[in-house]
Amino acid sequence: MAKPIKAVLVFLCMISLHSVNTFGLYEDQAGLFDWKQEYVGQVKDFHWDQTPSQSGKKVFIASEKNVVASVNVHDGSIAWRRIFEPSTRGRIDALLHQGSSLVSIHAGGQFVRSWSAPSGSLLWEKSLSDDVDSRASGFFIEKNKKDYLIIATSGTLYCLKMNDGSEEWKAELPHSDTIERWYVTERSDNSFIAIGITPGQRVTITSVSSDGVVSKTAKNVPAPWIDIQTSCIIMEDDKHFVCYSPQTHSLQTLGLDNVTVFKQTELLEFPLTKESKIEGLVPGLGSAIKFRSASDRLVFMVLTPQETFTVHKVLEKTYSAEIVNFAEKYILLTLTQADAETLQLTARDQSDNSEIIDLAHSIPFAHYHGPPVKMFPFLFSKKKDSSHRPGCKLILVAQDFSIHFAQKSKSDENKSHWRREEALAYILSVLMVDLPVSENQAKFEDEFGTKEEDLLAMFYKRLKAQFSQLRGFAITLVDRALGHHHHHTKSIDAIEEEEPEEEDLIRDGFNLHKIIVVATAPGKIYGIRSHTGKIAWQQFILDLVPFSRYDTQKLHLVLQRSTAHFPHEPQCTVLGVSQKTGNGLLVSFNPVTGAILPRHQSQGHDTGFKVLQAEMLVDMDSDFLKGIVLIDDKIKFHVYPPTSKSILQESRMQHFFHLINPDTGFMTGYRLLPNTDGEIDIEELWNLDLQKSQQTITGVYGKRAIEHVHSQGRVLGDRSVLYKYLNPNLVALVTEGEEQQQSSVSKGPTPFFSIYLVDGVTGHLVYHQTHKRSKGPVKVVHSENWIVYSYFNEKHRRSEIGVLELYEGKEQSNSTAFSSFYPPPPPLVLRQSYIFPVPIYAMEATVTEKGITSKNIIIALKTGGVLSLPKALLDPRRPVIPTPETMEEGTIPYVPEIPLSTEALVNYNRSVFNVDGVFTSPAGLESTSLVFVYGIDIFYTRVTPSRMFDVLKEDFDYLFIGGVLALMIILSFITQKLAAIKALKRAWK
Amino acid sequence: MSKRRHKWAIEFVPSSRGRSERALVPLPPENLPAPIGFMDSSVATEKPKEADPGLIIKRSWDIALGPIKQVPMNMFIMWMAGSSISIFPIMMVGMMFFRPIQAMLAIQNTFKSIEGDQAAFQKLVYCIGNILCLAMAVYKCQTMGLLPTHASDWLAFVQPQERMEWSGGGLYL
Repeated sequence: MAKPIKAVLVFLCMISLHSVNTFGLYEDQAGLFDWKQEYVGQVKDFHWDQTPSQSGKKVFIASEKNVVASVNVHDGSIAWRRIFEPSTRGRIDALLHQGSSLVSIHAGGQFVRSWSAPSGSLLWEKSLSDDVDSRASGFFIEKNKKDYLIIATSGTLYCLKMNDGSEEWKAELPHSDTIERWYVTERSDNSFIAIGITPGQRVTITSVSSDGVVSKTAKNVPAPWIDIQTSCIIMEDDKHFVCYSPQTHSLQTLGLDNVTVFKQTELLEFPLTKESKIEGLVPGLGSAIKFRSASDRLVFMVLTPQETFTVHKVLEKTYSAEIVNFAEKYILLTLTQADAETLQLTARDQSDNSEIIDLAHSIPFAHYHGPPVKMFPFLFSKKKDSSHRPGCKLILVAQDFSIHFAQKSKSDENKSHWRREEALAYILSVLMVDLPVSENQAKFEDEFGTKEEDLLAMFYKRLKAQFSQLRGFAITLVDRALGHHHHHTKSIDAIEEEEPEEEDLIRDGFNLHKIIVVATAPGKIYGIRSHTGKIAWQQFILDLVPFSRYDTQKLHLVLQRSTAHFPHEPQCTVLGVSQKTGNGLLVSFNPVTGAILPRHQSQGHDTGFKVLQAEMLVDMDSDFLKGIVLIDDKIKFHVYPPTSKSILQESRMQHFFHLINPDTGFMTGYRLLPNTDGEIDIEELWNLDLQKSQQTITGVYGKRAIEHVHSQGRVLGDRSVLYKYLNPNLVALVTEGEEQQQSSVSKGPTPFFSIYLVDGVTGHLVYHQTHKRSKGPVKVVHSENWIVYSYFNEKHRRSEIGVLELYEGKEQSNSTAFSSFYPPPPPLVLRQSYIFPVPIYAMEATVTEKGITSKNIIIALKTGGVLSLPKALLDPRRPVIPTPETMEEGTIPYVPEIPLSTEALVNYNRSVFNVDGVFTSPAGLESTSLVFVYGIDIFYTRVTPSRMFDVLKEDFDYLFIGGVLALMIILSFITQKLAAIKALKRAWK
Repeated sequence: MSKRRHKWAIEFVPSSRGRSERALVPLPPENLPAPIGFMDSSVATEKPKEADPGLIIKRSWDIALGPIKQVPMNMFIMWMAGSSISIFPIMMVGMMFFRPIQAMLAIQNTFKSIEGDQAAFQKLVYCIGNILCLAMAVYKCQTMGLLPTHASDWLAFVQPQERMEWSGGGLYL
């Protein structure tokens, strides 16, 4: 009978909602099901700690992800980390370090912050400029034994006292309206020379005296090739300014004393690439620069008296070179490739070109990091032995953003070596893949997996499978009998902790452990073990870059074949853009082992056309592989792999495709039609104009393909059913725009956004809603028959969450099939919006194996929490006045605000910031959904929206209950016997 | 009146031998006149049964009407139990189901004791009574909402709709 079950469920539901603390973890469960990893991002600025006592023990990093961090050198852990806004306001223009001062300059000088180097606490902060698009620069000077900080914003040169940030003087620089970047240096006479760059036009040179008086004469030199990113440098003699102009393949030199015009030095001696730039000055060579020609070629160039450059030395096959002044010697450190997995650090004394053996070091460096991009050596003299021999700590930054540390030590070559995989801060798409079943299980699968076989062969297979099972059991028994002996030998010759152990990569009982496959912006693909967070494998595809349009980067990651089809290996595919050709690039690999498909080795498969959109089919071909439909920029149809074309021809379903062009605001629907030649035609069906002139499309959200909907309707209080409108082709479009106000009291345009629900097959507009005086970013979750979206309400200045639920009504028009061409009557749309107390980074709905478990919405909050919010709280049917009927239905009475319970934060005190997205995946247990939150931090946990209804509790007393049961059985036998004896005795009386 | 002769009799007169107060003495055959009011019939009990068919019918009616008599009692229990779903009302509903079903199962034995010319009718009444009790139990279930009579009770078995079209796409990558 359904009612009691329902009654019990409702009861449980109410309990779980009203005493939400049951969602919380116990103290001893912290870290049991979850892990968090913190990252820094791609290194932008780097300094070794120079604080007298801490020298060389820490490094300071400023990153592209707007993070300033201090990393411990001995193990690579983060000592402290400060995260700024992901927008331009948080951009770090420069990180300056000298002595014990550490200063970061943000967003063109909008913020200048001084940090305490050991603790990372903020000492002072100053706002100097509002021009966030310009770049600010700065450096330290010393005057009268006091430290000062010189900062150049787009319009002003400031001199700040280092101890408290107070202003010593400031100087207004000329042409502040056009100049975006100043290069400033201090001359030997303590005055300053400033070179301002007006992109595409000119450079302006002026000088500022040591007490902040700007010279009247600013000289302009035309430089149409220059822009804000051009690599420029002021030479060591403070008399020359040199830039590399990629357009003319030349170095442009400007004498600062007698300014006339840029003098050009054609670079013909060596090839130039995209990586070509001026890397820095070369100390000890007079006026010389270090110029990078390619990723593995560096050139030292010396300035001639004619203000041109001549090549001094070309370092071939060298990834990085630094000249370091150590113990009054100039030492050239070069990094070259020794063999496929090793780098060689060589040190030479510049004076006599002799090699310093003490510093030579071969560094293990796996091929999957790409070439090293930069190195940061730190030389010191060893105090332990009296010889004061030099030692070197080396930090490398590789092309995949990883940071490596190496230090030569006598005892063990690999001892002091760590790396940080900073690419994990740039995750773009995520998948969770089941681990394969064990060998024995696989054999059983194999038994039924193959197509047709005779009885005898099947019997033989069964015998073999069972025999192997028996053998496995015997082996484990023997192992257990021998004790831990086996284990010991293993731990001794364990080479690397990240080496995947074979037995580890096997599915567990409840299929809770998965491989998290992530594709990152630098083109690196990782396989992460979900239960430990350790990297199981990694692949670096040099050519792979993400799609990028309107500042959003995308990589398509799909699981073409799961682990369920045993003889066939699972297959994942990443779709991105080839860096070389700009065409689509496909990389297929085994998500469990990370092995790239043989024909894709290291380079991927160039599709030969630009990919406009791609989608994976739901049908499998004869090899259990799901094909990917690719649409190129000429609206031509392609399938990957090409053999999957047969799916489209044989499928019972009709196939449709829609493309949305954000530039024109048109949504166009196409039909994929197999023709008689065995090819697929693509035929335009309909067009939907979303009024580009008024609004722009910011997002399109379909339903997830893996989602199952268990319940087709919703039970109401009177026990009738409200059937859900479950259109699998429904997509939600979000458009944002601004509206001019007509009224006289207008304060400028007011933002608005709209949500369109469109049938992706027919183009039928199912529903449309506009929110006035509200703005994005709109985060949307589209699942089952509902859409939840968050936005910012301008009128009330607060975050809100809206919800739309679609119902067919009390009758289901077609209970067996859903066709967009014979749609049910227009759905009933229930809507409601709730106040949400905190702003939101990202949202996602939980998903479970069969969809029986109620849904929670995982919300990454800007306060750092990850909230697991029951969908029942975001129900448009919540009644204002509860009646017995609504109570029977189990709806919670309406309250305009969503309560934010701290127990519902699944990451308790492990705050995550700058979250880019949330990914959820079903586990083998129906009650459990796996959650992966990614951004600058990555966080993994599992949630149980309806609690663990399918597993006995951890504290379940098996012994006690088993004992009582056994006792009862024994007792009943005994009493039966006794009763029989007694009855016999009575009969004899 | 039967002509049977008694085989023995207890003599309440003390015997001359003094061996026992009471002794069995053979009666002299038909030399004693019957005492006043004596009726020579040892099977007097059989007589009213055969003689009073009304009584048999009455007793049969008692049996036949038994289940119907329970109806008011059941109604009271039903009212007392209320319609909440908890252990006692469920037990009571269970009993209400259990008793008529038990009675129906044991109907052969019960029917043996129903005799008389109204037996067929009485059996019918007995059946009706039990069915009435059962109906009341079902009604009670109905009022408690335990019967799967609504579409919502079968919702869990509704299969998901089959997808007829596949559609994909999105914003330009």
